[in-house]
Amino acid sequence: MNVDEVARLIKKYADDVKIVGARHVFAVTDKERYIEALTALRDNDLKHLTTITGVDRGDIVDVIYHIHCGESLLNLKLSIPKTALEIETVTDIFPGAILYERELMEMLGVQVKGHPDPRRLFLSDDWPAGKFPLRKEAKK
Amino acid sequence: MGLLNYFRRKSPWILHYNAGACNGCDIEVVAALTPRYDVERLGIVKKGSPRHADVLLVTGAITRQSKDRLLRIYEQIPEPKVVVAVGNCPISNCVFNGCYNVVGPLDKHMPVDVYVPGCPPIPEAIIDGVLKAIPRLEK
Amino acid sequence: MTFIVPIGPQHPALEEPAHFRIEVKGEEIVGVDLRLGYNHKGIEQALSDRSYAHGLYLSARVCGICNSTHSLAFTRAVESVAGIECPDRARYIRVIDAELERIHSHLLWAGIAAHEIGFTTLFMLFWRDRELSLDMRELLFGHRIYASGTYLGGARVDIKEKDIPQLIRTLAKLEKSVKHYIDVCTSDRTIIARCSGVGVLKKKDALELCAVGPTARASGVDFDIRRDDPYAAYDEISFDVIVERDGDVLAKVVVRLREILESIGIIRQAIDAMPKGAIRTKFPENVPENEAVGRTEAPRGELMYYVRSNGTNKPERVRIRTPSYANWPSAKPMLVGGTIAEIPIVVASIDPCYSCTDRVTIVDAETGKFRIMTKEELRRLRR
Repeated sequence: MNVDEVARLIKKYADDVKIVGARHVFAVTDKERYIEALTALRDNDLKHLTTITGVDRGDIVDVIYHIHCGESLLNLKLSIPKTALEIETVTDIFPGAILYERELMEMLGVQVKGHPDPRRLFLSDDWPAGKFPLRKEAKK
Repeated sequence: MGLLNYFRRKSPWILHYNAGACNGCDIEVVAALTPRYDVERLGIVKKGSPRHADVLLVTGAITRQSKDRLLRIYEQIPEPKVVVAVGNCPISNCVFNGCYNVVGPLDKHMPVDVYVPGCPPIPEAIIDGVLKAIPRLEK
Repeated sequence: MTFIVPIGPQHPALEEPAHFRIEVKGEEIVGVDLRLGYNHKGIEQALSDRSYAHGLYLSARVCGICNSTHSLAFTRAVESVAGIECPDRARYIRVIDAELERIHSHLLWAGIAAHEIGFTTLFMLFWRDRELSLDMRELLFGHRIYASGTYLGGARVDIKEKDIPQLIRTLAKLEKSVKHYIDVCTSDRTIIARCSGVGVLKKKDALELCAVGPTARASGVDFDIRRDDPYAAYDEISFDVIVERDGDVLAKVVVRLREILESIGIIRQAIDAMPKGAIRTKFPENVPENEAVGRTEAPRGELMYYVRSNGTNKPERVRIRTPSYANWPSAKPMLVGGTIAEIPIVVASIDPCYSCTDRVTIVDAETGKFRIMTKEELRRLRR
């Protein structure tokens, strides 16, 4: 799918759809619609989840799903407040998300509900629990 | 004892351990085994077990997870032994200085006999470092 | 226990000896569990503490084997965020840097794979020829391993006219060797016996588990960032994306060796088409708020950098997703159903980027007892 086709598809489930350069699309969705959005992408034969990025913005954590769409890349952002830091797993839609969600849990403390294997991935066994290296608080 | 010293000097066996390296130094260590540099002609052999080693080559900025393993390996190598720090990472953490999971440099955890700086050092420098370490086996 | 390939390509960012726990029934593998973390340093966090120029050198050192492609992906994302385009000559220099790296990386991998099946002579031959590509990196860019051809806003050094003839002669030598190796690997009975039908990754699994690079292309997935999200000068160069169907270790060998031939062709085109001119534009000190993604096709597959800027000279966040990280889930379907003796070559076939001397823990599914085997013991099993 090229950038215009992806933008058209994602407009139903996201706002603020921007086309950047020749091949990248950025869009912002919310907790109510992101599962539908990702399912729609998978049903359109877009099965490659490049990765999931988490960004700490202070009171909010941005979770960005990067999906490769053949000839373009979609970056679908979801913002979650730290007071309610949980999302549903997407491993039933994209089985390849399994390790990325584990990393999100241990690096930023996002609760991923329904994840089949929520163990630590990269941090050592003696790393203190409750300390999330990519949070802004960790820098202090 | 004189005979044993002679054999150690003429044929030191190496154990190479990667304690959180980027692999740059590791591939130069392996390149030293390959036809262009061919350390085997000097009697140097790379072994897999600490019990067989005379020389411990350590690469990498020591990560938290690999530190205990590295210390255990060091203890398992029988005396006499020498430690060679290959690359800038075990010497000074190189670009990883300040990273939250790095607990180097190497001489914080064990005595180091030879330092081979470089990022990565060329195979000739690594071989030179090992050859400089060998006389220290006899001390 | 993580199974370690002796000096594998490094897994960028968070690579380390992985720990595999393999469940067996007799000799057959029925389950695989993975533990990473030995090489984790905290690079993503460190990148947001350093300026962009400083971070360029840290990003390269995520992986010593694919360092050029890391700094290229980082630069691609950072230049997008800053709205900077590098000059045309620099785009071709970047292509030459990246393709020389692909050649050295694939030859390195081929040598390690040969070593894993016990064919040490072939390992020595591959690495002997690999020295030619490292000589070229040293000649053109000044360093065997960390060529650092890319800089923010362009290329770090220019390629001199007087070095081109030697580059062309070396490429011809490499081409002749690699063609010979392709013949050897597709006709030698030992190699075929050890690699054909072994460690199969079906296309359906490769797609669902989001595999990338030669691991995916060997299973019929037609995916290459150089064509699907072009960067540097790849949109002006013609090359084939090598795809095989069988998904076994032999297919992965063939894909990588044929990709070396394509890389040689790409470098030749880049030399001919490279325009004269400046190699760098000015990169601003402070970068306004923005976010962008830069992807490249590393030797191991799709490499992605996401960068968010905040108006200062340091990034707000850098996210790195390396190809080996993406390929780890695919190790499971490749191993399950196989035998213990196949573990070394099957794990090596993903071309995992990490170096370690770890061992494997074998858990007997029936008795629950486990024993730890060293890599040397595992290798002896296959002889």
